Amino acid sequence: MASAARPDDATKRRALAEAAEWFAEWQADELSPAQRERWQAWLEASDTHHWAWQQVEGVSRRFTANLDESERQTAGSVIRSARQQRRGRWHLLSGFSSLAIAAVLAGLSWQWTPLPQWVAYWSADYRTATGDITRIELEDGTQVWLSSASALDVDYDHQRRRLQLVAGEVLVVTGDDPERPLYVDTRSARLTPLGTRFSVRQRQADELLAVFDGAVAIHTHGDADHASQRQVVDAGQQASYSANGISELTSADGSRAAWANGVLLAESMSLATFVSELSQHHHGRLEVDPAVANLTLLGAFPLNDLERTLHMVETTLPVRVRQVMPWWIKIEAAEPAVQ
Amino acid sequence: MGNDRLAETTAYYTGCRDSLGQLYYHHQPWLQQLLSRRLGCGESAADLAQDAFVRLLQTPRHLDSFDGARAYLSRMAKGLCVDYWRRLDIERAWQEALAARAEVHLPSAEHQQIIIETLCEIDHMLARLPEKVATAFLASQLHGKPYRQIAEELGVSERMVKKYMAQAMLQCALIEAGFEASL
Repeated sequence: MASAARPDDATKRRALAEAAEWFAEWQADELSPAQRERWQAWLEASDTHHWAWQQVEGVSRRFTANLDESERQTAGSVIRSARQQRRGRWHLLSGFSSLAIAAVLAGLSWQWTPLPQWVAYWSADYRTATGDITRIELEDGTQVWLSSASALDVDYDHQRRRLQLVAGEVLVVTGDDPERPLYVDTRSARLTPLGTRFSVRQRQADELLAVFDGAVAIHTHGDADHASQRQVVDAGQQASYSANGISELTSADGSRAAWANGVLLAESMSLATFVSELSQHHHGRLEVDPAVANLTLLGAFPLNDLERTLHMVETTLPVRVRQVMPWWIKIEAAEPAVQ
Repeated sequence: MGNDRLAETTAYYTGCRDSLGQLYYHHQPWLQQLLSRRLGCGESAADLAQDAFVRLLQTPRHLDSFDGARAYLSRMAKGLCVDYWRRLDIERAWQEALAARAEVHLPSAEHQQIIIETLCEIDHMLARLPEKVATAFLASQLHGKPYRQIAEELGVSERMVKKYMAQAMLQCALIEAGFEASL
C-alpha cells in the first residue's frame, strides 16, 4: 500500500484524521450544499487528502462488500459475541477455575435459538448469562429460578399473570392469587400451573416439563399439521412436548430441579449427559471422548465450580481431563494404569 | 546457550532467502516452543511459526542481532497468538449464529470462508476500540442505523456518536493504510 512514504507519515496521519471527521459528517446526515462544497475543497486541496479518503472508502467497503443484508445483521452479533468472549478470556488465561465469568451472548444453549430469539433474549425482563442462576420473586409471591443462559418476560395485569419463557430453563414455585390465573407461555405451549412447583426447559427440538408439586396443564399450540393437545401433568411426573404433541408421561427426575441450588445431581447419569448438562452452565467447549461417554456417574456436583467438578469426575471415573485450549476442555480415557 | 558468542555478531535480513534460512535455523525451534507453550497445542504452534517466517519474507526486516531477532520474534508470537484466538472466536461465534438459523438457506462453504475472512478483518480493525465506540460503528456500518437511534441505544448524545464514528474510522483507516499492523 502506501509504504512509499513521500508525504511524511505525520501529514498522512493528519489527513486520515480529517478524512475520518468528514466520514462522520457524511454518515450523520445529508450534507448541506455548503458543507459539501467544503468537503470537495478539502478533498481537492491535496493528493494526500485524496489518498486518505480512499482509505476511508476502503474501510467502508470492508463492512459491506462481501456481506448481504442478512449476513450483515448476523455479522454484528458475531463480532460483538467474539469481543465479549475475548473479554471473558483475559480472566481465564490465569487458570480455568474461572470459566464461568463474563456475560456472553453465545452459550451452547444458543445453538438452536432462532435468530429473532436473540433479540427477544436481550430485551427480556429477566435474563441470565451463561453460568449464572438467578432467583426472582414476583409481586404475587411467585418465585422463579432462572437457569444459566435463560430469559423470561413477566407480564402481569389485573386479569392475569403471564410468564413467557424466552430461552433456557426456569423452575417456578407459584404464588397464590385466586383472582388472576397464572400462565407460563413457552415456544410451543401454554402451561397452566395450579399451586405448584415445576420446571420447564426449552431444548433444541422440544421442551421438557417436570412437575414436583401440584399439577400443570400443558396446552400445546399445535401447528399446520398437528392439532393442539392438552395434558395434565401431576406431581412426580414429567413430559416432553413440542408443537407435534406431548410424549408419554414418565416419572419426574428430582435432580432436574437441583440446579436451582447450584448443584448438578447425577443419578446413574451417563458422562455424555452429564457433560451436556454441565455445558449449559459454562462458557467454552466441554467435550467428552465417545470412548468414555457411556460411563455412568453418581453424585452431587457444584455447578459453579468447574475445576472442582471436573476433578471429582476424574477421581470417580477412569478418565482424565485435558485442557486443549484455555476455553476447550476434553474428557478422555485415563492412561492405562502402570503396573 | 553455546552459540551466544557467535550469536552476538549475527544480523539478519529477512527479505533474503539465505539470511531468512539462517534466522529459521537459529530461532524456529525456539519460536515453535514458545508458541506451543502459549497455545497449549503443538500442531497450531508449528503452523503459526511457519506463518511468522512467511510474513517476514513478505515484509522484510533487518534484525540486527541474535537477541534482537528473539525479541522481535517473541513480540510477533504474541501478535500471532492474539490473531489466532481472535479468529477462533469469530469462527465459533459464526458457527453458533449459523446453527441458530439452521432452517434458513446456508451460504456455501466458499462463501462462508469469505464471510469469516471479512468478519476477522472487521474484528481486527475494531479490536483496540472501546466497547461503545465499536458498538456505534458496527450499528452504523453493518446495520445502517441512524445516529439518533445509536445515541438512544448507547445512552449518549448524537454529538458523542459522531465523535465515536470519527474515532473508529480513524483507527480503521490507520490499519487500512498500513500504519498499524497486527504487531
